[in-house]
Amino acid sequence: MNEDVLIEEGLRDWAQEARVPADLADRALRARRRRRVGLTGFGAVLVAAAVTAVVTLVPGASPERTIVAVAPTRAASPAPTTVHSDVENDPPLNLVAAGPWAVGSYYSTEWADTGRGTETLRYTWSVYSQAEGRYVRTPFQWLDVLPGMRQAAVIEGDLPSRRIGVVDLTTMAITRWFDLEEAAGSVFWSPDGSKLVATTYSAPPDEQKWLDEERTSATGLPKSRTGFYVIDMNAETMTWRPLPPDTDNMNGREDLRWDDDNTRLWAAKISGGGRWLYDTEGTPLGAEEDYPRRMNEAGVSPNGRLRAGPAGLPTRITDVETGEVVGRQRMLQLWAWVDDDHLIGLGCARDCDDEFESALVMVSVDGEETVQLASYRDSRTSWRPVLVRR
Amino acid sequence: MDSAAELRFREFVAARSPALMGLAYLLTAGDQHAAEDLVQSSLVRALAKWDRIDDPEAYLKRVMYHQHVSLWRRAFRRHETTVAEPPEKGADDATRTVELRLALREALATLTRRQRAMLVLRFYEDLPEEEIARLMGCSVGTVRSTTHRSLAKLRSADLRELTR
Repeated sequence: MNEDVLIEEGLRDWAQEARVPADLADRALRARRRRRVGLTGFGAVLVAAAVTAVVTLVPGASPERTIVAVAPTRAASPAPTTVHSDVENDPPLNLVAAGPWAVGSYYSTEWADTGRGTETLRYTWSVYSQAEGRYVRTPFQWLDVLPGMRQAAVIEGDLPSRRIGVVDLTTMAITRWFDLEEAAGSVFWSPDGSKLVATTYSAPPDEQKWLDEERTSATGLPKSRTGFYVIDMNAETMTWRPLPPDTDNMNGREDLRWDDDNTRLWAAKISGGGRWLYDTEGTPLGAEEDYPRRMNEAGVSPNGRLRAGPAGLPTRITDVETGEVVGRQRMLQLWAWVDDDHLIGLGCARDCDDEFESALVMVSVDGEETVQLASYRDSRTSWRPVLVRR
Repeated sequence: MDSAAELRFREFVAARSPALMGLAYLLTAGDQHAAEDLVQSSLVRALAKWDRIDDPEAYLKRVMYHQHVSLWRRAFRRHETTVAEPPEKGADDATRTVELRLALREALATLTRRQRAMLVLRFYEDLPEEEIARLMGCSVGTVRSTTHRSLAKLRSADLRELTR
């Protein structure tokens, strides 16, 4: 008997030993009903809780950066409870969402020559168009979706750029332009949508002078942050304040974002994973050492009882009071709480043999229930999702 | 889902359960409980779009491979099964075939999910390499190298004698 035949027959023989339960159809129908019921009824809690989702850029392809989609103080009520996945398209075309969260936009990057011996990142952003009911590619170099997914702030032209716009996602028309004197490398909404903060730079914020072809090491370039604009959408005023680079920071990009209070601004603190806080005049308000969002962590659950642990396979969730581990999940990262029992995060492919091959997944606290939301992709080189309250 | 669709679903499951369970059983290396879970969770997924699936069996198989290999149902309970020890060597041809099959199972159970799935696709489903690559989301080269490594691992187990 040759090897192929032995394996074929051996497998067939073995497969026949499986017992076939008579109630498989019933079980599936029951489970489906349970699953649909299980995802309702958590909206009200989340509306009050200002949870925020974050997306990590895995180091290796681009400088470390964190993208935060902040939660609104007034969210849709009741919050959506449905789950939408698109595992067929890579990147997704159809809405990807779980409970109150959606992938509002996603982007990919590639290194582009600056013509002076350095390279910088060029972005390709796609955004969920309410007009077309699918994700559409945009020409912008930066994009930030306002919670509710009806507007996006964008930057037109190579970064840093002097032109910021606002796109109405229900018509895909640009409704406002802001011309700046200082060029901006990023723009973010305040959670309530009343203000924008745009961080300004004197050179491309992602610029690197690589020392090798694999882009693993780079020489330090002068850091280029110059300050920031606060744009008041209602008063239509624009104020620029200087803010020099953080001397500890290794990266050129040092973006400012709004805190959940719509008042303070923050920037990532490179050492320790915390954040620097500022008022809108640029006056330092001190540092916060433990800020889960800075490290792309879901933090504490909406009901305040559970804490999602740090990134790294396997992830775990602990009881806030007792410190007891209440669940482990075969996940790489936990980004945001969907409700008190489910989270959205990054799950790895296969047996997790390649940490960069990952997909957006909804997982239960006990790790038993997983729902893949989007296709698998190489997180270093492919598209990267940004979550927003929908 | 209306009652006609539910009826179609029930008829399909009744007719194809043996094939689906057999596949799931192999993928889970002979773990009855895990195989039932795998079939059930795949059926739940199929239910979500039952009206739009042209070929339910092909769809379900794809979901099963995907769920079992790419996902990680049941985080920490490894479903690697311990199979019975092969009997003492010797005896007649029939005994030797049984012996080899037990050794094969034991060896298959030591493979990774991905390795095992590729062998199942290749030898049980009899799929061409291109189709396996498409299903597993990898290149044909990866299919070849993984299959090659898996077979080498089988051979290094108790199957050394299998072609003798």
